[in-house]
Amino acid sequence: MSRYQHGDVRAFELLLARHRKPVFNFILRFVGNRERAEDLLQETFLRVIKGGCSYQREARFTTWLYTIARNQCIDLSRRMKLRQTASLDAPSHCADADGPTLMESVADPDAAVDRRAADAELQGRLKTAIERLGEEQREVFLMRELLHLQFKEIAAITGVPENTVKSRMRYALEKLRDQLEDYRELARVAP
Amino acid sequence: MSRVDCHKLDQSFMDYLYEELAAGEMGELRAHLEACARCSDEDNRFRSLRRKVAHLRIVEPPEAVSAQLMREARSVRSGSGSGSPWRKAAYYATPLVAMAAALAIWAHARVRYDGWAIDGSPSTPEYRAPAQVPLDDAKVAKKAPAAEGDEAAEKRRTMTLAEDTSVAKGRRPEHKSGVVSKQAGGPAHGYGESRDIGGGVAADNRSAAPPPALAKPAESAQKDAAEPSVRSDNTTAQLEAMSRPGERVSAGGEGSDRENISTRPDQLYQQLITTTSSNCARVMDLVRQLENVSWGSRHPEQMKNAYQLRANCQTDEALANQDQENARRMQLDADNNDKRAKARRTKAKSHTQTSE
Repeated sequence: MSRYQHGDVRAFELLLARHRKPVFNFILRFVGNRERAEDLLQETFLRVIKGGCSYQREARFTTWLYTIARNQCIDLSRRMKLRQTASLDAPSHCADADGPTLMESVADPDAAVDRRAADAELQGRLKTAIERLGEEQREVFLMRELLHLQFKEIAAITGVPENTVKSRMRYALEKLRDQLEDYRELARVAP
Repeated sequence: MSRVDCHKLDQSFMDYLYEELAAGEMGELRAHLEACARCSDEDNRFRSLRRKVAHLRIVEPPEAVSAQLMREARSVRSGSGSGSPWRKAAYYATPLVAMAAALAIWAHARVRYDGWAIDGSPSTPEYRAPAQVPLDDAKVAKKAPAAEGDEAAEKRRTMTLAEDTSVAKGRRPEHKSGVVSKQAGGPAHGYGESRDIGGGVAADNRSAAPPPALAKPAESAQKDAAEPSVRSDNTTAQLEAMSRPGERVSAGGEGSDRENISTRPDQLYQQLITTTSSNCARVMDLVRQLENVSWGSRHPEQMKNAYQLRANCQTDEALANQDQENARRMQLDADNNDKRAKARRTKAKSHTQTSE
């Protein structure tokens, strides 16, 4: 980041290549809508570009970046509070109601059909379960599992004590476990 | 017997699950889990969940977004977007400097022209005759050529950058503007008053060479130009220095003149090409400074050399390649500049031939 601050555009390209995927997936799982996730990804990195001089070298770049991304998500969530939010399981194109869902569109095309079906079911369960989490538990869970941040880093980003982060994480895991327990039992009874 | 009980494990369970504990603590908790079926079962259930979560598919972000972001990053880098405070300062200072220079050229040329045309005498301002040509008040107030005492001249010599700045912002020193406007059309009274020429810009200190036909005799012209040139260099160097990070800028004085002038981009370049290639830290620093003032936009050929020198110093291959790429880009810019200049010359030549 400091190289980009000194005008090295190539450094920004490296930053983008390194972080765009985790940031995008965090945002996507947080807001549950691909179009909005793309917009927020763009907005997040635009803030990095335009706010480069506000970045303090003492802070880790990832902490700063994920704080921006998280704040974008929170802002959107507040704006969308009263609006209907499209589900990840809804058709991915508004104009095409019979089109593939987001989950189907991102499935590995080379996977065997049955495996793909089972995987899609697990993915769907996971998505639903994550969407059902409260916002506070969801962000902590996604930062921990998707971004692989440590609890203290999550605490710095969310601005809550580390112990609160851990308790939110535990609550999220317990809730997910309860929902996916059902899936495991279904899998057991299947031939 | 393990020193850890179920309560202790429960408290540290998230840290244990994500292995954020020290090795010793991890070992203690692991020993408890081996001995406690309830805690072990709890641990297995969470780990099973984490295995499922690990299947969470990672979605590839669209390339179009990345491409758009790269365009934005490049435009901010090359244009007027955010960057270091120095780049911002340079961005805002550029039009100010251009405007001041234009006004200075205009005002100085007018003063010189009037002084020469009116009485035909060698036009040190002190010798100028009172305005004998019809001039409206505003024009007189702007020109006001006249003699000024040593005290005023001395004051002008020692005028600080702060005054320059206030003048450049349009705030005239009251004692000066009042005198000028009151005596408009009256006896000539002030070389020094020409500081107010041009709507408050320190025009006399940014003198451009007059056209040959209007130029003063060499001696008086040198005398006239000598003092202002010091301050002109000083002010210009300070404005230039705003675009150079790491450079100290002081409010005036000969020392600061020397300091600023010694780090002008062309001199940085001279230092660069005379630096031994083994002194990579120096090379890196100098090229970075040249980059910071966007020197390559006006001197692509030289900047190409600078990038090549830095490429030889890079330990990171990617950075070296980037510098080589920058050098190629600069070479292209230089070639394009040459072509444009050649086209202009050809056009001018054909135009001359046509008119003949």
